[in-house]
Amino acid sequence: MAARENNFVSVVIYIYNDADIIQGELEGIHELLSEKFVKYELICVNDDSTDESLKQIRDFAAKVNDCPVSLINMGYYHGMEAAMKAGVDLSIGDFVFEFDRIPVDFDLSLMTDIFEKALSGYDIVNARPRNMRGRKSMLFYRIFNLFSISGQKLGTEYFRLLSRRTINRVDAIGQTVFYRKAVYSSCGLKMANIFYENRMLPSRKSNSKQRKNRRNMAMDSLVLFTDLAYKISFVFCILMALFMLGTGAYTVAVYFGQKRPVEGWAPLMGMISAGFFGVFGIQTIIIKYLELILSLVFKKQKYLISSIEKLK
Amino acid sequence: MVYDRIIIGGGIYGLYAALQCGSRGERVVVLEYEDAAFQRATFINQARVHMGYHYPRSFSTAAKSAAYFERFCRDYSFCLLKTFDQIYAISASFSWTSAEQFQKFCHSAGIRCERVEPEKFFKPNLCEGAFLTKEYTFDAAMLRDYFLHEIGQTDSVSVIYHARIQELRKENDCYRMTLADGSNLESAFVLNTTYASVNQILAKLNYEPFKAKYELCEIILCRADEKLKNVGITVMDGPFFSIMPFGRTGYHSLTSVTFTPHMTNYDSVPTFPCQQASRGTCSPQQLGNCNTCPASPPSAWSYMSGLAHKYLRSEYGFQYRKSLYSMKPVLMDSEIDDSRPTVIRTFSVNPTFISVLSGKVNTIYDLDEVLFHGGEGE
Repeated sequence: MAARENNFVSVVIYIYNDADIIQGELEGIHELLSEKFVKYELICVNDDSTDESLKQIRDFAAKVNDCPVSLINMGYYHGMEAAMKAGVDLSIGDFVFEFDRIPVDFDLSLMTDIFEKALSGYDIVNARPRNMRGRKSMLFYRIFNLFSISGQKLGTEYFRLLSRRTINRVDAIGQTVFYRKAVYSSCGLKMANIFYENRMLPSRKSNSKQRKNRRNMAMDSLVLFTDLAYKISFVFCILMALFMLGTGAYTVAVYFGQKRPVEGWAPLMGMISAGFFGVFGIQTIIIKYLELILSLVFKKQKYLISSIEKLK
Repeated sequence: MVYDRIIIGGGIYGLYAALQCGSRGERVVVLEYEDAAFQRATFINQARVHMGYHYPRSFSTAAKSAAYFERFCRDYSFCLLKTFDQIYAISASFSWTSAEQFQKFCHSAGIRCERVEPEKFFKPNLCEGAFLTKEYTFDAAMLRDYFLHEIGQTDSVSVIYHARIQELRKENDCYRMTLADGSNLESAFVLNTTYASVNQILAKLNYEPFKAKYELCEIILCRADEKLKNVGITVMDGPFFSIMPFGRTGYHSLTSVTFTPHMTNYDSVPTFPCQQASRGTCSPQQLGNCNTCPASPPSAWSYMSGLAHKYLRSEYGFQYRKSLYSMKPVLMDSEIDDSRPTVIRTFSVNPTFISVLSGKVNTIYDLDEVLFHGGEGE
């Protein structure tokens, strides 16, 4: 057996109505940790599960005695992002494994690979499954990556490793993180992806709460982390302004031209197009302002460096 | 032998009571299980002279603590370490109290609380507020020497070490006990100050036990780096940690809410699996000394230090020296609300039998009332 790692690792696991599989998965994770690491802790974040999940976690904790197991119970359903943030906040490890869901679709030895990858110089290491399904999420990532501000590409993933440095950095950027993946990818530290052949898990039916949460998050992240919405509205406003300008010109042409459709049409039309031109013109400026404010609020830090080297 | 008072337990409560009674000329005997005084909880704790900062949710306790603090500092100033900055910080997440609430509470309780920049001590955004406070730490060894010296001056107080109570019974007008060495003691007033063993003594008389749970606790002594040397840090109010000077020993004590307790037991007398491995030194009927026990648990150093390092800036470093273990009874909520750390119970009057259980060293003054005004029935 290889020497065990001395780094303290925390494992944060999101749990929502997973009673049937919790014990087995936690045992597997715990076993790997005990083989691989000297110091570790498990943090289960129970997002107000409505099934027996809580009992299953307690039963598991009662069985292990060489590993601290913490449990965070969310006060009500928060969704994965906020719940995982709470778990990561509680963790004390030098490195933190995030399990965004407990059904594990990979061989747990992947944890070792990821850890080694991180030691080779990456602050964030994502595990990405190769076989994807779910057209909606694929569409989301395609749009997101196309317009992403940071340039890092996101993908479907449920499992990653963060260095303590990353967590400190993200904390320094701002407390209201509602889409961790995007923040991690744009926090300026080095990130790596490891792809793996995933087992296809039986698909689980998500309930309306989860679906709604996911939908809102997708929309919000597109607005915050990409310039998609800004670009659309900005371009649209300019187009409308130009269109109104065109209409104005046409009206002027008609006014001085031969054909008069209806008495009074041209002045009225002129007024309307001038008015709307003003509205869209101002709106273009407002959108620009909003974008500026958003970036000021959201990127509190002036810059995000990934390292400083003294070369001489 | 007939005594005016028999005091069971040579911790600070026992010796304080002995000295108070002895200085009035009463004949007092203190029975100590160990071979020296102050070997367990009085020595093995954070050595904090509490000012009340720990009760941001209970104003009355805070006010009371503040009064006791002043008195304790007057009476025992020789054993205090005062020359360090005691910082209380409020964690940004998981705290039950906000920085604003804490500050407001300190102001209304009239205790010192000056805002300092959290970033001076902590990594960014981990603490939402940090405060310079007034709190001291006492040196248990110096305090013990003082008490033993003063007791020696009185002539009327004796301390029996290595005392093994074999029999304890109530008679018409007195309590009678027999020790393992065959000596018989008798007194109309018995004070039980045995802390974690309190229910074990009560069980000998079939008195109703205190409703307490037991925690096997570890305190880590560290050597602090230069920057931390004259600083004490406590992060509140939830699952956090404290690292502060340990009396005048030159060490810092490191404790954490989640990792200091290793095992918990809810029986009326402390019952732990490690007792089987204690080579007969410890049982549910007679607690041994966790600190010298061959079955003490492995240190939680990596967890406690990990937690502290997560918060503290890297220049506030510290290194492991040794671990101290002790058993801590924690009164259950039904028995005690957060606002009263000392519980004194009178089980019998004439002859009088009183038990005291308190988690704080500087609340010894709670004893005055029962020592000299007699115990009151509940």
